[in-house]
Amino acid sequence: MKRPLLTYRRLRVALVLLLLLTSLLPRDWAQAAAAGPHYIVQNTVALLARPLTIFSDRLRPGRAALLELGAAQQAQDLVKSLVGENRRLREENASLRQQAKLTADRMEGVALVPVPVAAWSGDPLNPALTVSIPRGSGIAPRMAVVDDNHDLVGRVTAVSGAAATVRLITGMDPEVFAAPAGVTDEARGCDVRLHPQRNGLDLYAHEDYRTTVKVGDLASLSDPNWPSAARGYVVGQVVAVDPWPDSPALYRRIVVRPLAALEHLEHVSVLVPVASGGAR
Amino acid sequence: MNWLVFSIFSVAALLFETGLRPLWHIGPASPSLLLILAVFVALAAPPVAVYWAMLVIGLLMDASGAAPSALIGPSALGCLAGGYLALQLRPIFYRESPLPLAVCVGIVGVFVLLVVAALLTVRAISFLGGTPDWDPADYLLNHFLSVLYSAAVALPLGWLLRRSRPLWRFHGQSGPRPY
Repeated sequence: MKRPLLTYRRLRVALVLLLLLTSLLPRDWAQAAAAGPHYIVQNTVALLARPLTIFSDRLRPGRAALLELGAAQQAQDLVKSLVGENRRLREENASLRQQAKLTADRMEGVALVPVPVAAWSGDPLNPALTVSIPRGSGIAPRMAVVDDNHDLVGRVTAVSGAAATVRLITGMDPEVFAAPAGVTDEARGCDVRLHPQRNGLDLYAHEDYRTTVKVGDLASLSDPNWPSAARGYVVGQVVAVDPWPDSPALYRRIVVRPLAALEHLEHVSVLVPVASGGAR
Repeated sequence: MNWLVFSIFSVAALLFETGLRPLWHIGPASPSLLLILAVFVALAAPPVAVYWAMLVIGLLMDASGAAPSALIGPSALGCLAGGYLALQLRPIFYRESPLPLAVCVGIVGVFVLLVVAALLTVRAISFLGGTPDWDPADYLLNHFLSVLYSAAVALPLGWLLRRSRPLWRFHGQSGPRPY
């Protein structure tokens, strides 16, 4: 009797050889050969085993989903602090934008004319600078002077030929708006009148005990007797709010130190109106 | 042997093994229900049925992603070799106890691992394409722990499978007595 060509034994042998071949295929060929069966089996199994997987995850959450209580609390605290910091930065951004706009509006029609400092007078009663001014610069008395950091230095008091005298802010009594840095809202600051201290280095103010001025506040010029282009420039920073020596319960002594390094200036800039005429 | 029952039990084992893995894994080790089922069949069915059953289960293992490098073949050949070993071992076991099933799962499982590791190591030879990230020691260690875990799970599961023996109809006109 003729034996059949294909028997179970021969089929098994062929299958084993085929599997041996697929086991030793190069990577790309093996992945191509296995792609179809893998796709079918894995997707079918994943679909059918999904209820079991959900059940398992509920009983034993995966490591990625499981947070220790302490880690969750830390994450919450971190989120809170970041949200607070974000809010603070947004507020600061808004006030800086407002300041920038005010500065731009103020600087319209004003030119910064740089001039070198020729001499400095350290007389506490009359602190002043002598600057060399170029011919035809338009610099005239009463014009405001600032340093390279746009901090207020003083005011031109006299012009004589190629030189001008600048009275320093520490020898003047400007009115300033004292408020925390970046704040321009009038409700959050107050206007104070500064006076020169005897040492010629700082300015002070005599204010009511209910004053809201705090150490660290910035004092920016708000005096209507100054050119409008100079208003808003920083005069100095509040370094002390102490009880007034004679009436400690009723008054406060507010000390403002100029931000400009008045003793070491080498260059300053004069705010010169571009339009013809004197200061606004 | 009733191949329909075999198919149902194979698919159920694969589904439970995949679905419950997140629940009962201990580190990298998780029990292989397909291996337990394969050894159960190998200890009870006629030899020809054993070889075909081991091939099918091995192919299921490969298709479900058991073999590294996404290959079809290593686990199938490993299970085939393991089935041969189980056929040689089963005359020496006392079959009325679930303990022989657990012991056989351990022995056959290790043998399957060794065959798979040998095939993949041969494949890792560079002129055959190479498998740069293949580490046989790492593979053997991780899967050896799974084999031990499977042997432990085979104790209660073997009791259940023995209860289902009438469905399988292992009795044949030839071949060994049923497990």
